Amino acid sequence: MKPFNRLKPLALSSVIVVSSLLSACGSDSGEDVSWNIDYQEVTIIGDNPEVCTATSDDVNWDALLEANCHNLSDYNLFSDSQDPTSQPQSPGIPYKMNTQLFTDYSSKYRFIFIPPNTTANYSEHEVMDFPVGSVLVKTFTVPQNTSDRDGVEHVIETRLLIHRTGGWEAVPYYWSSESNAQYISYGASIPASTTHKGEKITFNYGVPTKNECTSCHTISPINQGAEDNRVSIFKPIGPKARYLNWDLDYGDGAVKNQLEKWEEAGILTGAPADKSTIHTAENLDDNTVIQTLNSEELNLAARSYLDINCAHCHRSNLTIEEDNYSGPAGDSGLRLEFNRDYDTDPRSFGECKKAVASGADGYPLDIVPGRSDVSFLPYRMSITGGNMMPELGRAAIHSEGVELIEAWIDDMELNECGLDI
Amino acid sequence: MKTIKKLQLAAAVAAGLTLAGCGSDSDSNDTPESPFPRTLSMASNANQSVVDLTSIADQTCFDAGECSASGYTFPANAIKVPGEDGDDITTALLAVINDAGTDEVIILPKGTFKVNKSVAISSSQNGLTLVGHGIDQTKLDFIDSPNDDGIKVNTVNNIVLRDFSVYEAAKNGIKVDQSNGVHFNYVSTIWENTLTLNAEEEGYNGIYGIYPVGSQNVLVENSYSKGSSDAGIYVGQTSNIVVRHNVAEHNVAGIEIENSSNADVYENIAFDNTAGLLVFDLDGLDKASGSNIRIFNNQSFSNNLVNAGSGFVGKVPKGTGALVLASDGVEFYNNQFTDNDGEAISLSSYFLIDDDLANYGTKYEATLLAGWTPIINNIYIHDNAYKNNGTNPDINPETSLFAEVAQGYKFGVNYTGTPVDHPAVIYDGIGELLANAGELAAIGITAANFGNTICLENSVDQNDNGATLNVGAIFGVNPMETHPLDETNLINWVQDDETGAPVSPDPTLRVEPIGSNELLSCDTSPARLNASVVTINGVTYGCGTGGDDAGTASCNL
Repeated sequence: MKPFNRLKPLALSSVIVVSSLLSACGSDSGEDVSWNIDYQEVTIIGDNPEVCTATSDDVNWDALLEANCHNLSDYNLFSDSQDPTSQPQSPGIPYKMNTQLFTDYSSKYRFIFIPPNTTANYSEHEVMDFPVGSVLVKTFTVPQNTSDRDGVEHVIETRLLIHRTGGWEAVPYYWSSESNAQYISYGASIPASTTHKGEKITFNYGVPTKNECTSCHTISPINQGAEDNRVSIFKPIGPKARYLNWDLDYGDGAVKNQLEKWEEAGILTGAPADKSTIHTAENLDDNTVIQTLNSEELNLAARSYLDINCAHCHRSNLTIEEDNYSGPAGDSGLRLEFNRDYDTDPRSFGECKKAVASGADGYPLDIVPGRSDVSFLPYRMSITGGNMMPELGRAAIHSEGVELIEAWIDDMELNECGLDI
Repeated sequence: MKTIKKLQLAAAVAAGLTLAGCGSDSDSNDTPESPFPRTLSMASNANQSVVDLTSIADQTCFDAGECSASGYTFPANAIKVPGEDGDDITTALLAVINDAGTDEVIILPKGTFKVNKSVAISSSQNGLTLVGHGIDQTKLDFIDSPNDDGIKVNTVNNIVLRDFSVYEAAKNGIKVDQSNGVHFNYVSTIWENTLTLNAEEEGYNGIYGIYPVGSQNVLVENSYSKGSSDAGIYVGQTSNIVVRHNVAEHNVAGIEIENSSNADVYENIAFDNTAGLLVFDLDGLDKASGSNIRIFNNQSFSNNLVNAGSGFVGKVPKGTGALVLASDGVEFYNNQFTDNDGEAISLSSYFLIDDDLANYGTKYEATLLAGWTPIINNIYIHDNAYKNNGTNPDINPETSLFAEVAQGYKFGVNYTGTPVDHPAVIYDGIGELLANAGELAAIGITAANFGNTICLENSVDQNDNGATLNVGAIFGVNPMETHPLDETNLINWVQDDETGAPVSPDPTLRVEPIGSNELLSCDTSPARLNASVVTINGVTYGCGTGGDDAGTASCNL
C-alpha cells in the first residue's frame, strides 16, 4: 500500500552535511558517469496530417492552427530541430519566469510565438490576452546536477499551448529519442534521477496526458442555476505580468525587461509605460536563502510560490475576466491567488480553516499561524502519494518550497485558532 | 456578541471525564460480513425492494460480449480498449481516452487489469460513455498508480460511467468535478484494507469513493463503495441529485450530501460505516449552502466502525445512523435505522465544530454574506423506524463530536440526574438557544428563524431490547427558562457568580420518550419538500415531474 511519506528534515540535513564533507575531501563533483535516462517508445495511431509536411523552413503556422502533428519538428519552431532549448525560429522569443511551478527539479525553456502582425493585449493580473495563432512552447529537461543547469541534461518533453480558433489547446510532445519528439496524448512515466545539493534524487518523471494538461489549464463556471449552460475555458497559466516584469539576459548582449522586449518586438500592447508600477512576483529559485529574507520579502516569496504552484487550481472569481468562474480546485474553499488580499480574506488562504475534502492526524487546519508544524498545507507539500499537493506534476518533494511555506507560516503572529494544540 | 465569550461543555466534560475510566471504548465490535459483490434484501422496507448489483440481465447477450451484465447493449461503433484478463492496460486505456472526441462510447475489456496512472477525462470528451462488462466483471486495479484519483473527470457534460470497478486508487476513486449531466450506474470504488486506527502499519485507503462535486444533474445508482477513509458515495456543491439503489459499506461516511440542493436519496443501504447517511453544509465554499434534500426509504444499520478518518469527517461519532450538520431544509422519512450504537439521527449546528462564538462575525463574514449559516434548521423527520440503536455511544472525544454528550447521558449527568437510554434522535439545540437569546443577530439569525421548524413525527418504535425509544436535546432552547426551585437560576446558561448574568450556554441534556410531545414536536406538520429530478442526455430521472421513478412506491411515500 501507499504510506504518505513525510519528509524528515533532520535526516535530510544530515545527508547534506555528509556529502558536503565528502566533496570537501576532494571527491570532485561526485558526478555519476553512468547517469542516464532511458527513452521510451511512442505509439501514434493514424497518418501524419498533410499540413504537417513543411513546405518551407519557416514556422509552419498552418499546421500549428490545424493539426496535432506527429513530430514536433513538423512545426519548424527551432533553428535546430533537435534542440528545443534555444534558438527559436523567428518570430519566437525566449522568456523566463521569476517564480516557477516546481516539476521535479527539471529545467524549463520557454518561448513565445505570436503570429506576424498580431499583438497580445496586456492584463494587469491575468495572462496576457494572446491573439489566435499564438503558441507557448515549454521544454522540460532533467539536469544531471541542479547546481549546473547549463551542463549535462536530458530533454524529456516539449509542451505546446496553441491558441486555435476554437480556443487554447494542449499539444504535448515526448522526446522518444535524442533527435525526435513525438506527439503523445497518453502520458508517460519516466524513471529519472538528478543530483540536488549533493543528494541523488530518483523519481518517476510524469509526462502528463493531454487531458491532464486540460485539467490544470481549465476554469469552469460556478453554477448559477438550472439555466446556466456556460462551458469551461482553457487558459494559459504562466505569462502574467508579475512573472515577466524583470530584466532578462537575452544572450546577445541585451539585458532587457521582458515586457519592454515584447513591446519592442511589437507583440504586446497596453502595458503601463512605467514598469515599476506593476506588482511583481519575487525572484525565487532553489538557491534563495530563505533565512535571509525579511518578513516582507518572505511574504512576497511565499505568495509568489503559492500563486504559481497552487493558484491555477486554487482560485475563484476575483480577477478572472469571466464572472463566476473558478479554477479546478476553487470549490475546495482554499484560494491562493497572488492578488487576493490576505488581510481581508485570511480564511481563503486556509488560515484557521479545516480542509474540506482531506485531512491527516496532527494537522487539524490548513494554516495555523505561527505553527507550520501542525499546518496541513505544508504537510501536503511534504509528502508523496495520494494525499500530496499539487496532485499532478511532481513525484519528488520540493524541500525548498516546503521550507519557504513553513517559514512564511512560522513568521505569522501565533494564533492557535481556538484549538488546544 | 456581547456576553458570550466561549461556549463550554465544561460541566458535562468534567463529569464525563471522571467517569470515563469506568467505560471502555471497545474496538472489537462484531462487524457484519462484507462479501462483495452482494445482494441485500431490503425486506423490512415498505416496498420490499432489493439492491442487486451483480446479476446478469441477459446471459446470452452478455456471453456474446454484446452487453454489459446490467444489460447495456454495446453500440457497433464503440471504441474497444484492448486487453486480456490480467494485463496492464494503462497505455491502451489512456491512448483511447485522450484521443477520443465527443459523444464516444469506450468499452473497457472484461477481466481484472492494472492501471498505473490516473485516468483524466476532459471536456474534449463531452458526451462520453465509459462502460465495462459489469460491476464485478471489469476491475481496474490502481494499486501501482502512485498518486491522484483513479478516474478524474473535469468539466465534462453528459458523462456516463457504468459497469466497472475501481480498486485501490491512491487518492479518490472516481472524482467528477464541475460537470453537468453525470451518471454513475453499476460502478464500484473499493479499497480492500480494513479501516483501522493502525493505518500507518496496515496501509492507508483512499479518500472519497464515488465523488461528484461542483456539478449539476448527478445520478448515482446501483453502485457500491467500500473502504474509503472519507465518504464512500459523496455528492458536494451540486444541484439536482438522485442517489438511489446504492450500497455503502465500511467507509467512514457512507453516503454524504454536502452543500447541495435538490437531492433525493432513496433505496440505499449503508452499513458498517462510521456513519451511514450524512447531510453537511460547510463554510467557505463556492456553493455556500444546500437546500431541499430528501432522505427516504433507506436502510442504515450497524454503522459502528471506529472512525479512522480525519478532517471534518474525523469528528463523526461511530455508531451514527444519520448526521445532519449545519444544514437547512432536510426531510428524513420512511428510513430504517437498526443497530447503530450511537444515535439513529443526530442534528448538529456548526457550533459544536467551532465554539469560538466571539469570532464568528469576522471568521465567517464572507461565507455568511454568501448565504451559509452555522445553524441547523427546517428539518422534518417522520415515519422512520428505529430498532435497537444507541446501545453503546461513542465517548471518545478524539473521534466524536458528541463524546461529552454521550458520556453525559450514559453516566447520568443529564438534567434529571439519572442515566437514561441513549436517545435515538439528538438535536443540539444550541443555535436555537443563541438565536432566541438574540446572540446571533449580528450574523442575521433571530428567534424568527425558528419555531416549529425542526419536527419529529410518527416514529416507529421497533426496539426489542427493552430500551426506551428516546429523543434528546443537548441544550434547552428557552433563554429565560429557570430552575423549578430557583427563579434566579437560568438553567440554560452558565451565570456570572456575582451578577448572575448569563456568560455562556450550559448544556442540560434533555431526554424524553419519543412521542411524549415535548422535544422536537411541532404544532403543525411542516410542508413536505419537493421531489428532485436529474436530466442527463435529455432523459429525466427521479421522483419529480417527468422522472422515471415518479410513479413508484418510494416516490409516493
